[in-house]
Amino acid sequence: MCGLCGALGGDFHWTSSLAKAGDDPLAHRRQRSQRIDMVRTLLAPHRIRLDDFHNRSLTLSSPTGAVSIVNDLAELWWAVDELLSGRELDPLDPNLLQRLSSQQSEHVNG
Amino acid sequence: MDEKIPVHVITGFLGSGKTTLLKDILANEAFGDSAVLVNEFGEVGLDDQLLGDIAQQAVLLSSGCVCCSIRGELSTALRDLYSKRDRGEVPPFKRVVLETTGLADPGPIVSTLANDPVLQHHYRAGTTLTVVDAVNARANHRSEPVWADQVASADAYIVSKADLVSPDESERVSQLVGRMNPAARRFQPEPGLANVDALFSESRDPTGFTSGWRISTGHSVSTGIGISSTGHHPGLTDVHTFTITLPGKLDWTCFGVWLSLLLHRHGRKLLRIKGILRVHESIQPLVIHGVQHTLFPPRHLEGTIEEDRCSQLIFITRGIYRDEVIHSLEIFLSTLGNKTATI
Repeated sequence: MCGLCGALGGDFHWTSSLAKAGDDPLAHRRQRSQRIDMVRTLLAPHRIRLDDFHNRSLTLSSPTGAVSIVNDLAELWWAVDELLSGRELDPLDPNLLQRLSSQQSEHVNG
Repeated sequence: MDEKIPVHVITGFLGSGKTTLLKDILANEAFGDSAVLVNEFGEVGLDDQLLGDIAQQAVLLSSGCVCCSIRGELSTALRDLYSKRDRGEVPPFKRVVLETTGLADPGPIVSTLANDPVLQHHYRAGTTLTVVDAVNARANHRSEPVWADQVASADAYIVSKADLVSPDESERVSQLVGRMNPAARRFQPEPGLANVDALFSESRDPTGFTSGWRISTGHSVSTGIGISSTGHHPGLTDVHTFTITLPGKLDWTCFGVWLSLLLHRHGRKLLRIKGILRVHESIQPLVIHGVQHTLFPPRHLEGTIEEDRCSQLIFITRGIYRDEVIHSLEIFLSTLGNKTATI
């Protein structure tokens, strides 16, 4: 990966390997886009922003101005840990699950 | 199977009989096209098989097998071994057999093979064969957490020293292992290891599910995720084995986000995950399996399956409970999952 711009990065994570083997050439992009949206939902309460960088890398930005460039989900979670500075994103955390349910209810009820 | 060289691992607790098995392998001509990595030549006792040194820290045995000692890091040893093969300094072995120490947790080995930027292009994880000592299994089960790690990581297991216990005790040990790791197959060595070819045989389905893929008869919760089996092994510092089933097709993208975060946060406690998933994004079911933090790239299951088959996942965990896993997955799928997909 180019250390300056991340433009030569690639996502070789197991979550992405399915689309690469698929028949639909757009499947990779579609699943990537969906994956990014899902992660954004998880990061939103922490005000961490996630942007797609040229469909090759991802940038994470914290409210304090810290920025990380990552290639895949594995790297992303490590970067999120650093940006959260001691707090943890835990899928078993009842508070996280409650927030997801509440966000879903707000979305449904407008 | 792809062309990467499989690395098979022999693990097992102290005194379980790993080295005895390894000596049998080294002497068997069926493994003449193998490279075997050991910690110390002296531990294995190769003098009567030794043909001579062929490279630094590598000797050729009468069976044709190359035996190498590991100095330092495993990743360095595997890289050096491949370099020697590439340069013709050792015969072009087709598999690597690695013996761990008795107190080793196989998880980091799997992680090294999957994540090292050089090794992953030349090698792949093969079969983890765990040697379980029939005499001490139940005592180790009660007091040795690393024993649980070794059993949980097994693709196959051998019950050693069965001749030193009663047939009933040997069967109890086998059932103990089977309850902890229901997808591991038991290998029954024939005299003289005549069936050695089957020792590291690799199924296209590492879960062992396909021959008897079950539809859940367990109770269902709101989204239909059910439980078909569960086991708590109180002697193993809170080890749990459970299978969850998911009706219908799964949103793979959402599942991947969930599982990747679960592995990141709790990988050390997720001793093993194995499963067959029916997903929207693929016509063929997917086989997934992982050890602790490492999940291998999913593979498509060959052939067709009935439309009403459920997805199934086996978890072997330490201190992570069935209900919290199910609740978490339910919430992720229902809130983040593709709203156009049906479960």
